[in-house]
Amino acid sequence: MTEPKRKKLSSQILATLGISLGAAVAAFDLLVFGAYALLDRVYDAQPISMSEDALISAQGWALNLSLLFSVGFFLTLFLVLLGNRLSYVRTITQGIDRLKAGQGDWVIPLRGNNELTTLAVTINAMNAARNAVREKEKALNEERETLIRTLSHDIRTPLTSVLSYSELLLSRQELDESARGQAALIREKAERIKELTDVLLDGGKRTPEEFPDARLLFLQLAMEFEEVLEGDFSVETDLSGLPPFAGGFDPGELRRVLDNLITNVQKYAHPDHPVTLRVEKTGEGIVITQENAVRRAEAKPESFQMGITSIRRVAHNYGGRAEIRKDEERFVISITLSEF
Amino acid sequence: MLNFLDLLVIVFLAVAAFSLLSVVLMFVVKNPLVQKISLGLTVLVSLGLGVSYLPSFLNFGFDGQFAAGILFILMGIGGGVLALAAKDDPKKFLAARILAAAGLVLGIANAFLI
Repeated sequence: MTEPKRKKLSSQILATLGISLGAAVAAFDLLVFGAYALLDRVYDAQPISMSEDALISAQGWALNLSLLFSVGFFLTLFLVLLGNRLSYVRTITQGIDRLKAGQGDWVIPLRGNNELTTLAVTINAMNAARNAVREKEKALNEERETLIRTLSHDIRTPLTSVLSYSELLLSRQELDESARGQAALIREKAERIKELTDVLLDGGKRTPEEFPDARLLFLQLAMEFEEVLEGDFSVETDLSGLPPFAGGFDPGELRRVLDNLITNVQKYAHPDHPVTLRVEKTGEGIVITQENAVRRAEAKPESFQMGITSIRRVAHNYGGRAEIRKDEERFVISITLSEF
Repeated sequence: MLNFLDLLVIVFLAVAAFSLLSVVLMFVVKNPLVQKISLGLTVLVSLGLGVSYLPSFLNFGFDGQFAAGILFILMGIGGGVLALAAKDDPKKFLAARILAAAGLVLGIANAFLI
């Protein structure tokens, strides 16, 4: 679509100035003419005795006052007409404010045919393009969510068999201790996968619980961290900076954080150096700090990015953040949970 | 010291300039409230002119100029009544403004210039 030819705002303001000036000159003429005509009529009628000097003086008054009124008339008319023209700027800014406030379907009304109209057309076009991108993004998100839910649902079908058979294995008396441990591990991991698919099926809905003493929850998580890693690493946990406190936490979320930390340690940590986990309460909230020496692996293991993203999301859910400091020697991650 | 003619011309110019301004603002300003105020002032000036016809009536009786003056005053009042009746009808309101403006302009011309 071709853009119609617009007039320049400056030309229109100049035209407004010309119209006001012309109207003021016409008003001046009208007032002077009217006053002179009135004076001539009254002077000719001579209702009371009047000298010619009185007439000349009155004509002087007529001229001066007409000039004064015309100047006032010009200023008033010019300012009113200019205000009418520039009031469209306010309409545009109000429209922008509405768009900023989230009224995405708002359209700035088009008025006149100058550069301000072009500005309004451009803003409307930009908004329409943004709306189209948002719609597309929304459709893609819905499609992705549908895919995730379908996959989660499909994962649960074989998972049910894994859970059932691992349960069956555990119930068998003839299994030796080692096989029983392996079956328990299979069951535990399968349970974890089931919890995750539940979260995906719920669209990531959180289920925080109120803990009168949340320190116990963190103690339990630290023990699990230690228990899983103690065979291969020297693990040091420190919760001395965590006094008893009440708070609402989703244990599933915190367990996911812990799982990601464990996976990270298993993949990257140097087994000859201690792995530390410290949980403390600071002014910012609960801070979980995990630190380890980095193993120099010949083949670079799979990236930790997915795990980090998951940890960051959980920290974000608690109004906090996750910070990583990493070099060739050491890896440190601090997870702050501020709102609970 | 102002003489009789000076005072006459001052009064005439004040009334004429004020009327001209209120008539122009009534059509130029887009704010409906300002339009209504201007219309109200126009009608008031028309009524004021009506009062100014009374001495002429007392001196010269019911002549053509007085009759025309009454007609123009009625036009101004009619404009005011029409504006009240118009409510949100822009066409009726425009007609009311035109009627009141015409009544005032003709009333001034009749009072001072004819």
